[in-house]
Amino acid sequence: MMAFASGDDAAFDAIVNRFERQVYGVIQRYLGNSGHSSQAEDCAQEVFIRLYRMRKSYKPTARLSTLVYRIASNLCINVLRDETRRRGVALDAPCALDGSPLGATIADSAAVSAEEAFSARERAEIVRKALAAIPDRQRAALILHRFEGLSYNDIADALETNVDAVKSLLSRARASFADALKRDLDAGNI
Amino acid sequence: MDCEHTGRLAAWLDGELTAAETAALDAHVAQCSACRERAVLLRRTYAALEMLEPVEVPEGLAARVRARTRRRLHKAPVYVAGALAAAAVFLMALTLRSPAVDPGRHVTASTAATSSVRLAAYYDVALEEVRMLEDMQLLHEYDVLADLELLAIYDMLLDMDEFTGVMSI
Repeated sequence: MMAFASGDDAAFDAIVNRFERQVYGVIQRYLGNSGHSSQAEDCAQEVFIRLYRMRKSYKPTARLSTLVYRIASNLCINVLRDETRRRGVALDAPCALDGSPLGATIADSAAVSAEEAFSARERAEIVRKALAAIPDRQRAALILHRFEGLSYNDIADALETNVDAVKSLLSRARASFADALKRDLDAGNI
Repeated sequence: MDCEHTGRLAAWLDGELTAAETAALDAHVAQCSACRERAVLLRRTYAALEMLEPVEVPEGLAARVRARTRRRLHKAPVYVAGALAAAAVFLMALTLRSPAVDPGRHVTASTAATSSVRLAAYYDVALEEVRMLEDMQLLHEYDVLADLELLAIYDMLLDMDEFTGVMSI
């Protein structure tokens, strides 16, 4: 990391190789996309560019992984939220970040009879849309905890808050997610 | 009906409570139907997350990221003349509000960088906050700054110790 801070390109290359999965994974989950997403790739690119530009101010007392997750979370929460606003998608309307109406999806899926089997792909899509519907910081906390395996302390570092706030975020995130999924859970769709 | 303890169920399920808190909530959940119901729902929603497919990193992503990073950051000098002028106008618009600035003074590379320090002092903010201008709402509303590449030019402005040109404002 010190080599990277001093401008060593080979060190930066190693960092990209090491964190590409985590960065792309966080963004992809946050966006609620499936398959290859050029938007997620563009955002992942931006994370590493921001990391590169911050290299001179990097303090060796901070873990590199914390910094990477912090940049990725910040990008997801702030930049992607601003882009959603510019596209005219209401923040309080339940929808995935690609603009597709979540409410319609859940209503449609709930209309399917309990006897009809949902394929794994369809169930994953329901879950993906529900995850995309919960508020920004709650979603980021949930993804970091559940998919990246970060502790509450690490999540607090990544989101630049404290552990008590993370506990509250995750509690609300799980509640929001449960509420978004309840109809499909009760209907036996997932 | 919600119980006052339901807000702690997520941390309880995640194993993030202390041993004493966990034992207390264990005992409570055993007696509280609202909490038991909520805990079941939370467990089912966590199980639902397992239905998401693993994220597959696109092949060649790291190589593309490295290549594009180098192109984005290393082509910045190509825009030195025009982009520095635009950035200088931006800084001038801010610094001219400061009574310490003489508009007729030639601004050298070092004083332009020092302007960041003066900006920080004038607005009584941390220098680090001045350097985080890329996140300011002002930048999002400033049309020319819709291009994130210009932010790379701003980084150059901060590194102007290496630049020996003289700008006249």
